[in-house]
Amino acid sequence: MVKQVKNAVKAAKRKLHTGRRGNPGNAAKYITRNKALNRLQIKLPEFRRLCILKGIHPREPKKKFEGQNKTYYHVKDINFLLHEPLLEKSREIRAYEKKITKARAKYNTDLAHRLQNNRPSFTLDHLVKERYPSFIDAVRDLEDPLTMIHLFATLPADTTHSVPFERVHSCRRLSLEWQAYVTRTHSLRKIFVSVKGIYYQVEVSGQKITYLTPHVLNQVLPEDVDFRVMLTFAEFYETLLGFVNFKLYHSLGLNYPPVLDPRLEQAAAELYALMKDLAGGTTSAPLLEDASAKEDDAPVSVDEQQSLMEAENKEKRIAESQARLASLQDRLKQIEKEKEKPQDVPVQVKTEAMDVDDVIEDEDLETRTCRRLFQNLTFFLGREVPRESLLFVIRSFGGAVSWDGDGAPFPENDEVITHQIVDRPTQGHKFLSRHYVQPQWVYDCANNRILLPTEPYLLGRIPPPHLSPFVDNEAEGHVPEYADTIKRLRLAANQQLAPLPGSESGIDEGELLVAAAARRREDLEAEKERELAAMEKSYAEDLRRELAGKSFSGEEEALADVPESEVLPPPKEDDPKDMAKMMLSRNKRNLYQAMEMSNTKKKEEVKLIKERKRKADEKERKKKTRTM
Amino acid sequence: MDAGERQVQVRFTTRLGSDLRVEATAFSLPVHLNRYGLSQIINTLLALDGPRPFDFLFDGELIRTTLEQLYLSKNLSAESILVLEYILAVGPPELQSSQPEKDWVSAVNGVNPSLILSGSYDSFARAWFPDGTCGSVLKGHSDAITSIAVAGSSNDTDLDVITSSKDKTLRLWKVPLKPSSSTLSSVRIFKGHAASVQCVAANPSNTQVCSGSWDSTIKLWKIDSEDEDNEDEQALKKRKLDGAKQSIAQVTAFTTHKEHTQCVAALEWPEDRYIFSASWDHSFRQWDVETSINTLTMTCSKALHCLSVGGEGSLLVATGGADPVLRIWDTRMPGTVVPVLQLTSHTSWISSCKWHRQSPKHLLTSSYDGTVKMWDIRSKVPLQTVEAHKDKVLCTDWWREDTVVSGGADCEFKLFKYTPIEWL
Repeated sequence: MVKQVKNAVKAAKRKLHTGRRGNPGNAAKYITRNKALNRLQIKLPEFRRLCILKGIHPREPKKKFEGQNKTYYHVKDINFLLHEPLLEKSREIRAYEKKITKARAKYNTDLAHRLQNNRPSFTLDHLVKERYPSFIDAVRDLEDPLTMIHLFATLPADTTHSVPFERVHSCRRLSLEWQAYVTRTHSLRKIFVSVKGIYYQVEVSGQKITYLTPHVLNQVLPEDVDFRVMLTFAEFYETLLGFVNFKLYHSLGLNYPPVLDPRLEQAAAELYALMKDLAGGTTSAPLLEDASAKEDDAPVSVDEQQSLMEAENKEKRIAESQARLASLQDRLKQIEKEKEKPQDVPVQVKTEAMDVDDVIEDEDLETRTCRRLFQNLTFFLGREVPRESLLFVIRSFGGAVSWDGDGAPFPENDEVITHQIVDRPTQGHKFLSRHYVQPQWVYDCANNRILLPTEPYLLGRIPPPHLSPFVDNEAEGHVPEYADTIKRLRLAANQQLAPLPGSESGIDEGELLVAAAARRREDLEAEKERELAAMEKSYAEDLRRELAGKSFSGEEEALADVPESEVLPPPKEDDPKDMAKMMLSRNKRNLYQAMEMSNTKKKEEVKLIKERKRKADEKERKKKTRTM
Repeated sequence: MDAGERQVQVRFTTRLGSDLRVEATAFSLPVHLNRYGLSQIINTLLALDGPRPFDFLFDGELIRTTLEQLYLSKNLSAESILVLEYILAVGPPELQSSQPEKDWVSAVNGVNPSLILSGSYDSFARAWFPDGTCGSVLKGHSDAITSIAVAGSSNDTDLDVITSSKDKTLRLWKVPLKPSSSTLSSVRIFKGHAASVQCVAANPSNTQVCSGSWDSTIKLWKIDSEDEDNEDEQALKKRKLDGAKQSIAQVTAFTTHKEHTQCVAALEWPEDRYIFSASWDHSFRQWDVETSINTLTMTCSKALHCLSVGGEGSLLVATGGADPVLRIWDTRMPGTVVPVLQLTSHTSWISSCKWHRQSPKHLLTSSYDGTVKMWDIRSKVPLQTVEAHKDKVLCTDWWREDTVVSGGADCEFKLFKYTPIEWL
């Protein structure tokens, strides 16, 4: 009987071991790369490209059944690739290439030429639809695409690395379109200028997207980067961003792609060109007028003009057909609209930078504050400052801006300019009516949503530290001094302190700065005050005791006794924390230890920062006393 | 005391009576002693029955640290003999009486030793007697009383009192000195301010009054004049029309100073020659009465709420205002821009400050933090702090040398008495 049972158990175990009933084993789930290549019947580069486009990546099985140095993929993924139309398309293209070479080999130039012109092409549209079933998915995944597109927009078209100029051009166009959209909707939230590049955070459809753009410098292409992989990614991202931009523009009721002002484009102020287009273009009609207005003021190359004309004609045709279809009432309305247009179009052209201070419906509070930050300010950018970035930021936060160069909307000597952004040690001629500030001021103001006092940022000064808006000071455990000052300024600005009757209206920046400085001084004096308060307290206490008739020496002894008893370490108990730690599983314990380690590391970092700060302060003080 | 501790040589001197005098020899004392320890030593040396707290002066400053810290801060050599003068310390005050009123108590006056005057937001002023009973009620203003001044007395039975009010007028009353409860009506009315009157002060010879107002003017009035000749016919006609009602004499100002740009918050008339005024425009000014010239202007960084003239030769001006710092200015130094002393212990705005009438060293301040503090200007920390009121303290004054009266926003009127002190 016992033997029977044992046998049954053994059988069951064997069955379990072979795993016929349970989950399929690793060998059934995973496939090595070479096998996958064989199954798909393609070469490795083609496979890599396909994987990138489809978003398939290698896996790490628990047990690598064919060796440690192999790359494994899910069998499912490979089967998924097997059905990819692109696979078929690439085979088709390869076959077509063969036809061309054959024709060339036979000196059939006619055929070769014809074949060359009618090559089959492919698009990645279906991949975008497949990978991002809803729009919000695409927006959520936009960080990498934006970074990549902005990177390629600044790269030189280079034949040795096979970076085609078309790619660079289209990346540039897409990035500008994106920036124009952000500017128009005022959805830029945070900016941080680092050594690596400029980080931007944008809020689109409720999603916070953080991306990095390179500094506008002459880029050197490094040798150790596989540009083929990068280009494949760029290719897909281009398609994706094209779709996203299209959708975003249409959600605003704008035409996509927007029409660029060719003159400004030539002057390398593309963003402005785009924005100029968008500013006047809530409906198609002003766009038309804008386009026709542009036509006469610049020498435009023939084909550009043609394309413009074409666009115009198309628009006109559509408008006409619409008008024909519209009811009488609609027609009347349109007539009325057209009557009004001549009046408000010039205004629009003139103040296209200034936002009309009307309340836009379904606009959240943050967007409104962003839109109004630089509302009544006019900026002028010097030659030496990064124009594109500043243009982007200032316009996103509602300011009007011009620059030193071709196509500028207004010249440097315009009286309306309130702030001139300069980044040089000295300035020759200065207008008294404007502030000469360093670019950091703009970024800091934008990050903090208040107009900071310009004094520390003035020309030739060492500006205050550029604090990252992406760092949570509270969580980090260390609040830099300047962050504290900004916080105070912000509070003061938000409270909108009621001015004293008789004084000038509102709080001006200087006053705020003075207040901040006074507060800093107060901080220094606070210790002294605390000392005084302690003295006062001890005096009152002593007097009370003396009147009560207690002797001084007795008090002293009693006081002397107390610390000694406190110095003794408390009796060692079983720390409940240690006990709990022992009860954890090894994995969790390791995790806990890692947490503890990172916490101590963070604390040490904070300590180090404080120590450095202390030393720097001391140094400064010494220097000051020496000079005194 | 352990033997390892360092010792310093200390010699005590005093200006107190012979029964409180110790030998003029140097004692060797441990450095950790503070005021308390030193006081204990004096007590043992004199073999006094009960503990008598003493305060110690070095170099004109009260000692509030240990001897060691004193040596370090003054850069003294450890070998030198420290000469300390001792005086009697001021003990904590006792609450004498607390009287509820109907509204905020906005003004108190304790110039006259036989009665105390208080003004309230319920538009009445009251006279209180030492036993805590309410004597006369001064009825006549139509709005809150803001300030009270005493202009002496023409005879022994009653006292001339002037009150200022938010109803833009000042009124003169004759308050009987004998304890009796009665309702008084005003004798004279001073009209002319365009906004509520914030402060009032009478000159030492009790012939004139000055008043400061929210219309940022200071007006000077003669107490005894009934200037009917000044009035034009229209007014006369009007007076005739409601002649029966208008039984009290009306006075108009003879001079107006308009230099202040904001509400004049405090006035003081220390001598017949000149007036001091403090204003919300951050400045306090001195005015020459004869020539009506603004002879001195000092500017502070904050709006001023109160001002008091006193100190040595009545030449120090204490001001308090929209910050917790009491500032003391020396008017003898022309061109001074900074106060000679800044006392910080309050945690909120200062509502009033008063020099002691006899002592040139003692000061009283009240603050919106609910405390009344007594200061000795020889020390940076206050001598005594009283949690006088549960709400803001609006006014305070000395009465009879050792008593303090205060009124606050908790609608209480309080009297505190300090243990007998010898003012030096």
